[in-house]
Amino acid sequence: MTDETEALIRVDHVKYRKAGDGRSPIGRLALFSDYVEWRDNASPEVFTCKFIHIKGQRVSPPHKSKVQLQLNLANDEQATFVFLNPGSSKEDLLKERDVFKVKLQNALTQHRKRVNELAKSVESKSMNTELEAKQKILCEDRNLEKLYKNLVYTKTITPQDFWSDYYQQEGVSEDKIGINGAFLANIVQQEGTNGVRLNLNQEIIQAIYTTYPTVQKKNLELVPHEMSEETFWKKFFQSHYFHREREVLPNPKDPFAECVRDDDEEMTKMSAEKVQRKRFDLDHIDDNGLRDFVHKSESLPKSTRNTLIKRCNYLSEKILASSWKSGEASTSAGKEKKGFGVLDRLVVETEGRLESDDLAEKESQEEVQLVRINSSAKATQSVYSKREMQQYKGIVADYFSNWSVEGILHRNEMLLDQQGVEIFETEEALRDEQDGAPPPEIWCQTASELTKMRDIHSSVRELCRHFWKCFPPVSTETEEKLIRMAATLSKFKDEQLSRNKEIDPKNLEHCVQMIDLALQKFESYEMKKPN
Amino acid sequence: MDDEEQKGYTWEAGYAEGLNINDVLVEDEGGSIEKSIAKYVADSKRKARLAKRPERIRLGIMRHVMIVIDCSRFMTSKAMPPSRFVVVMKALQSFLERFFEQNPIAQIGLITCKDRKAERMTMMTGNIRVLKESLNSLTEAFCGGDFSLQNALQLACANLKGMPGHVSREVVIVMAALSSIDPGNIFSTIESMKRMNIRCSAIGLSAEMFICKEMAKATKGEYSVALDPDHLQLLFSKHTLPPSSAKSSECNAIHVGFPHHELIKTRSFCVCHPDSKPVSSRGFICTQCGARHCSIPAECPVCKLTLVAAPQLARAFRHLQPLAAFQQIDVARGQCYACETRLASEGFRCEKCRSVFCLDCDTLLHESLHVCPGCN
Repeated sequence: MTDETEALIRVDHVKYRKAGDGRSPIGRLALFSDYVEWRDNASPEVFTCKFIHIKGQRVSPPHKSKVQLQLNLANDEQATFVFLNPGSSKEDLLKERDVFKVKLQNALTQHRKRVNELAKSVESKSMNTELEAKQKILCEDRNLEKLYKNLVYTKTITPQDFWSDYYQQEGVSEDKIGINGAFLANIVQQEGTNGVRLNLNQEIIQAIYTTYPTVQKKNLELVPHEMSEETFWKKFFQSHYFHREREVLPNPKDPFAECVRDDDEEMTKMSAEKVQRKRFDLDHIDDNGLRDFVHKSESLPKSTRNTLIKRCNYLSEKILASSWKSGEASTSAGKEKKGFGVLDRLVVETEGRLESDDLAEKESQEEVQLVRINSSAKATQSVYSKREMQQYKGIVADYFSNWSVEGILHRNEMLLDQQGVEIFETEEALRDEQDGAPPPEIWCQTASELTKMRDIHSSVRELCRHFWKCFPPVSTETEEKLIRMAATLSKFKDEQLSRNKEIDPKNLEHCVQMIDLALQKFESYEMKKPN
Repeated sequence: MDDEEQKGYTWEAGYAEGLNINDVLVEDEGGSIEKSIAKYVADSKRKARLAKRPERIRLGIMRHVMIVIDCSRFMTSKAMPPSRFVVVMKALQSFLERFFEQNPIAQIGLITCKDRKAERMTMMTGNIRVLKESLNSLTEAFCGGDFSLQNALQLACANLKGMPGHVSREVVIVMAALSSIDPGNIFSTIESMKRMNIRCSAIGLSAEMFICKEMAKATKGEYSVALDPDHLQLLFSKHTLPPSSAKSSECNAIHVGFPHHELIKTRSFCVCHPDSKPVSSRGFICTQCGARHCSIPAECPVCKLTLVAAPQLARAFRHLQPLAAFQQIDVARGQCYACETRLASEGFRCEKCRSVFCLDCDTLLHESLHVCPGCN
């Protein structure tokens, strides 16, 4: 409370009418960014009221003699301030009070917005979501879970190293979404008892707020102090936002009536920012020299169709403006265009062209780079003499006329039938099996040993992967990691060899081979280093 | 203004005549234009066959392609029977096979765009099995919402960002939607794709859109709209050919391993079947780190070395010197040089050796064999 924030506004000669007490001292009213303060001129009395306690404010009607401002507090109390600067006239006092009122209203809105955002961010808890996501990844992939247990629990690899490959935040999804132009029309409607039921969800509400910021402002002002959320939205769907042809008269009970005025102002501003297209600007290319002297026709009379068109255009403009506002800095440094102005670039290109795309010659040569290939690089070609050619042709023709398809596909030289061929192939496979490595099923006595075997093999693969990732070492961190991984690998190898009293060394041969290859590479790297 | 009562202005009729709509889309007795569409598709196929592919230019052979699949409500439309979604899935499956056949060292990633959000379905991989499984896991019931071109492009960009400079970066968007709901300025996204040398192409399923055309033009990609399922296959097959590489892309020497197909005597697990066992006792050992693979080409997950067999890499050669297109001529009689069947009405003649082939042999030579038997 005693922070040194600057007061947004200070007004002197304000009487504070305490409810109940007889005396009403005069003092100075000050507005800060999150509280209102009134200091007594005479005594050291101070009245402070934080924004969270203020439900709303009221002003006295203009015809009353006294110029007052009243704050409605949360505990149903009221604090009344009377503006009576002896030197100022009534109009000045009214102006003073109104200025204060507007500033207070803005400050209240800002404050409430901040409070809402704070509440939302406390809910999201970004730190927790990362942990949750990692846990989910481990649950879904059993192999990964096993790897994690074997490597991170035993402190062989640090968690950061492990997760740098498996937990990726980039490149998985793009979540920011745009607003559909028909979002209001797409709201699900159901026939209710008297009237229509509309289903609103957070997404639609967010879309309405982004497209029409005035509605968001009104929401912050009015809810939950003056009306409930439900009433607010009911009034919204009865307003001109939803029924676009409706002409709205300023009605004190309708919160959206003010918005009509603001929106109209914005609409005129937007239509003034139009895209300059010289070829279609009839005023620009008009030959009529007397144009300036001719009386300009009246602007079109207001009809429902015009209002409808204007409001529909306004919706499109607002949607585009909201998406472009969140964009990155464009390549043309600093020249941020709003709304349809972004198309200026295309328009300028189109109008600066001297040729028409449709009439231009097609097939501009793509820039290609020639590659020198020796023609003699083709494979050697056999050349057959005419007699040989006739001979081969005769053999092939003979086959086609005398043999069936199955007959041709046999291995002619070995003269084996189908069964013979199969026997030959299985023998070959068996020989491979005997000479080659036995299948994993017979490596170990039990299934659990086999699983342990598998785990060791995948741990070794993972460690080697981290090792090879460090090549070539471009930064000091990568070099450090490389040295660390080399040490880890040799430690792992020693452990395997020492622990291996229970494990058949033949089962670990491949692992040792892989680790040896890695350590060899490390040695040659060390030798090549200048120091 | 009583516009509605008049038949239209005279200039309108003149403009429409110039477009030749009535010539291109001829209605038959029932009022259907299917025949003229089929004719148009057959014409495009013929043009593709006869197109002169440039020889001996620098191509981007190591390709990293992100395929964006539109999963908005427009994909459930039955405009292409049984539904656009089913047709696209089928075309994608055959595209994947042909793509990896022609580009053994390329990689593909998959992105879906549903309800204005883009999500990565599969990371960049050269493993066709993983990609086919992901495609099979997509169902038509999953589709809904709107399409967002900007989110799809930005996600593809985030995934392609980390690739080295010598790689050809491409995005292929399969799009049925007629609108795009974007959170920001789509033009700046297109600019940044252009700056990063990412080639964005699109295949439309409903109608031509200005923004897709702009995107393809700015990033030197291709954009066309598929008229029917055959045409869709044709458009996809155009993307199996490696694109010419831009002047600005770097030229690096790449470390590649050539492991032998050998009988493996040590007891080991392979990296491609971690849960079960290796497919056979023959396999490949990575030359750098020693990991075991069952098939190549592959990128070793342990040391990130590209493992290929020399013949597969030599296949890339065929793109550098493609077999020139044969000229179509009318023949009254004669035999096909390759298979000696009687030629009916048309034949295809090789420019160099002047031998004439029938349609089937022409297709076989250009798609599979890539040599002309007459030029020995």
